[in-house]
Amino acid sequence: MTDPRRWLDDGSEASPALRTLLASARRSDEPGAPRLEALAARLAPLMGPPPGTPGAPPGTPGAPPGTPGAPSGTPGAPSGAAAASAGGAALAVKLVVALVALGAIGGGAWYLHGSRGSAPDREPTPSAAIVAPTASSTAPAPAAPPRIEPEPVAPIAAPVARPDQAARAPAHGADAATRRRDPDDGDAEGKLVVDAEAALVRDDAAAALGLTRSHAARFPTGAHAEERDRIAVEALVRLGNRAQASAAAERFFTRYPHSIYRARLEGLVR
Amino acid sequence: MPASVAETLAPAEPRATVEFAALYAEHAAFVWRSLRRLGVSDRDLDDVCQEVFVVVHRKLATFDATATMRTWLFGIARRVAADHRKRAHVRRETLAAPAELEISQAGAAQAPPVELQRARAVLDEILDELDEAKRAVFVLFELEEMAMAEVAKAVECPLQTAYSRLAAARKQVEGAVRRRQLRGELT
Repeated sequence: MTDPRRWLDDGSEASPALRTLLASARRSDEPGAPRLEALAARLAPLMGPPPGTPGAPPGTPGAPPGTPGAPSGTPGAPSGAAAASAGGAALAVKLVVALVALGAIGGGAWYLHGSRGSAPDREPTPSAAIVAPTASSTAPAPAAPPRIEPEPVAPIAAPVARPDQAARAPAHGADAATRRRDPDDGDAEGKLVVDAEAALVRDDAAAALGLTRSHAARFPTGAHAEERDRIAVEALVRLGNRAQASAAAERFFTRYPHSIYRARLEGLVR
Repeated sequence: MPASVAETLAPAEPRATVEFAALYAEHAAFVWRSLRRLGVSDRDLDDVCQEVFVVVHRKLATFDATATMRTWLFGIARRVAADHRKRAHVRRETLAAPAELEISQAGAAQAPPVELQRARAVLDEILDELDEAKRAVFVLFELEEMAMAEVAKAVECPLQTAYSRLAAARKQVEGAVRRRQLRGELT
């Protein structure tokens, strides 16, 4: 049995009205590059280890097949997909570059911010975090034991200050290799952010907010800080806490003036 | 139910993470369009699309290479969209006002003309009148231009069943258009 002629094909029996309706979907159902890039940024923790981490593959993290450092071929992809246009590959490169840039900008901004002062200044403080303040987070962070533990999943409601992280962070200008983060940190950090995003998706804004607070306490200068702060604002909006959401959004705009989330957050809080 | 993120972030081989990034780059638009055409509202599209890719990341290792990536992805998108619809009434009761949740700012600057938006809205109404099985076949064939054999795999039904669903969907869509024309809503 052969396939029937599609209604939008030349010579089909479809009426002009039908063609108009179907054509509207063909013409308007594309998400557009900005939207896909924003979504890619939300999925960044799944795209690969943060740049510079020991677990990152050689070359560009998350680089599509065919780029230096990436394995050749894409097992499991259909032949049609493998034969995708060069435009698709170009988009892949663009997305990956955008993700890397996002991580680098976010992390770099935090790094520069923190590097202006001494090591203790890099501890999480209410002014340094977008995440809405709580009774515990507005108080000065208590000193944590100097011993560095492997990163467990943080309890949601109990932010734990990690001055040991700040202490072990090398001074500005130190050898790049020593700035590499503990791979366990990378996994735990990414997990917290993705867990927070997943909580937001399932409409559990309170859990999402709690996870962002945990992230802020443990990874104030993490690679996904911008993502965390965006989630925090959205969670506050969903919880109906307009005042805190607006304040957090303003801090976000100050900290990330060129963020791809700016328009989205402005739409939420204004 | 949203995917377990803990599973998705289990230590991944660099090869797998590369595959996911490339997969996203190549198929994100298809997934997004599919969700849109399966009835996910514009307001929820980003969240639901993200949910699909979280599931994809978790299940990527189980992808059966005898299927095509598009049919596999559509199957996941279809299930996530169905879950989303089930939760929809709860969300409508608990979420803030729509204006507060408008998250499509990235696409606002590229909003289509009014006539196009209106035609798209009418098509949405008509597609909403189809049951989910017919709708899936209809949009994959008429809008995604998949071959019917691929459509049948995507919706996990025999080819003959897919043909039957397409014929039934077409009949229903034609009827819906005619009714709107009689009411003067369409020319």
